[in-house]
Amino acid sequence: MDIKTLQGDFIEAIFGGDKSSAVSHVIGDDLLTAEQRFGIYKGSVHGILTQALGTMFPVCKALVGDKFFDNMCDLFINEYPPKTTYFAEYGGDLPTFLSTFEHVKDIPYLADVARLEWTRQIVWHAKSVEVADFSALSELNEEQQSNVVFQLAKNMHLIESEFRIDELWFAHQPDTDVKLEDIEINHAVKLIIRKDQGTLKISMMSKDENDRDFWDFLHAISLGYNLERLAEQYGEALGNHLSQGIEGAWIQSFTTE
Amino acid sequence: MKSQNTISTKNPYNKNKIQGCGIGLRIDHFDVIEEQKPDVPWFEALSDNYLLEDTLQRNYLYHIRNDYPITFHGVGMSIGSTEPLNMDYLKRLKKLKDEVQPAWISDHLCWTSAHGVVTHDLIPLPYTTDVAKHIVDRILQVQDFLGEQIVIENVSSYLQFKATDMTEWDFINEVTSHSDCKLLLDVNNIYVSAQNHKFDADEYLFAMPAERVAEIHLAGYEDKGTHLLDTHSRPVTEPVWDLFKKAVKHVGDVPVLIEWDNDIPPLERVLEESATARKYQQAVLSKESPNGH
Repeated sequence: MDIKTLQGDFIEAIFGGDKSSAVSHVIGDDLLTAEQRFGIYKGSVHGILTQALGTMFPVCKALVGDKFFDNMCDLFINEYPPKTTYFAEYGGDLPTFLSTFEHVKDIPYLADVARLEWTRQIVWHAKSVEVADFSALSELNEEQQSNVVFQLAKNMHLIESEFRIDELWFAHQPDTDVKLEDIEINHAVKLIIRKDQGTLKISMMSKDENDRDFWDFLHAISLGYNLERLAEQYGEALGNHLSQGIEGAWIQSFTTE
Repeated sequence: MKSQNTISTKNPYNKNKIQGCGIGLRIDHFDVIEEQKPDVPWFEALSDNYLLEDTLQRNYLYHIRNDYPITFHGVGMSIGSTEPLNMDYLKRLKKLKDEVQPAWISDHLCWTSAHGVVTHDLIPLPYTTDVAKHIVDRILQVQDFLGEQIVIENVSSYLQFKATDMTEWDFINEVTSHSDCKLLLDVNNIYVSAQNHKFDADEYLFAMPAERVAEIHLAGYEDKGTHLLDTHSRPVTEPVWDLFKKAVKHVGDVPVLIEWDNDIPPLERVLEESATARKYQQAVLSKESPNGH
């Protein structure tokens, strides 16, 4: 018996593949067949992961119902088996899975809600940041300054959606004033998710023109625009946006290309 | 090799003596522990939950460590896997160990990941001489890397492999003696496996190397009709208490821990369970002492 083969057979069968090889390693008896005994482990693995996904995506779970969510997770787990030892890092592929999952095509915002919930996790586990020192920026010559590329703080993420996913999320929180029936779901939003002094905030940045411009500016940075390109795009507003970005610790550092 | 229960002189914490009956540290109880500072001899922290840095959970652990002795218990070491040891995991574990300085680190005699996939479940091994050698090599590597003896727990199981050619208790003796690791004796797991595979729990228990037992685990299972499932969601059952009393007689006064991971009740209920364990433990120890008390 080769234990490496045995473990490979188990992994294959637990995550939706052929189970005949895995079962062939197991002893059956009068109480449970070898297949049933193997099935206890398959059920246990899927149960553990489904529970973890339910904790990670509680709003998605509430939107589709417990039974549907559990069945959906079974399929997701088979397609995306965990490659990480840390539960906090498992589930990042769920938004992608949902965006093409036939059975939720009537809930077009579900993938974006999953993206919002996952982003909250990423931000939550990101290191806190302090306002960085940008004094070295003034020591660069003109050409070097043109090539500067900024990096956003890791404790914040930007999300854009065609749907009012922020309100949908708030409506599922305890003690909320937001009512599901009042949400105009087909309303595009630009959001910033940020951890600030131990608190996680979701800010809607598409109501006010200044906020919207600032979100677009941060988004341009996230896309890797250099300072020359940012200057072309934002003109006189660039100085204000940069000050706001640096002083608010939204922009963490810079490199010269 | 550093001996168990030794507190380094560099330890910023002033106490780390593991004795009596502790309980598993669970997120559900964080707030009440912080606010009320209940009388708990020690906590066992699920180390895998604290390996990511700069998280709220890790901060909680630092706070709780200031007030209580701590041990680490993990799932992610996958000591029985055939893939290389996960050095990222071990590096994180070592860093957390250096910061929190638990009395010891334990994990399970099983595999949880293989071929690049992590099951997050405790899957048993075929019990053979070759597999035992494989495990011994890996435990030695881990102990070398961490710089201390680790503690390995016997798992509950729902299947047995055709390839197995020795008893589980012989396998445990083989692994612990050749790797010189400690043993976390899970009495509930012995009972669950004995029922599921129709072997004699007493024979298993009394074959355990008493001198290597660093800790005893107790938990509750669910009876599924065809098998017992180790759910950690219930109080300890009478047959397990009976086996526990025999275990205390066999291994003496070692620390005991109540695990409760699903359908977690209020902290007071878990503490009641640990008080019961302590009561039974002391009753047995009292009878076993030369003076009869």
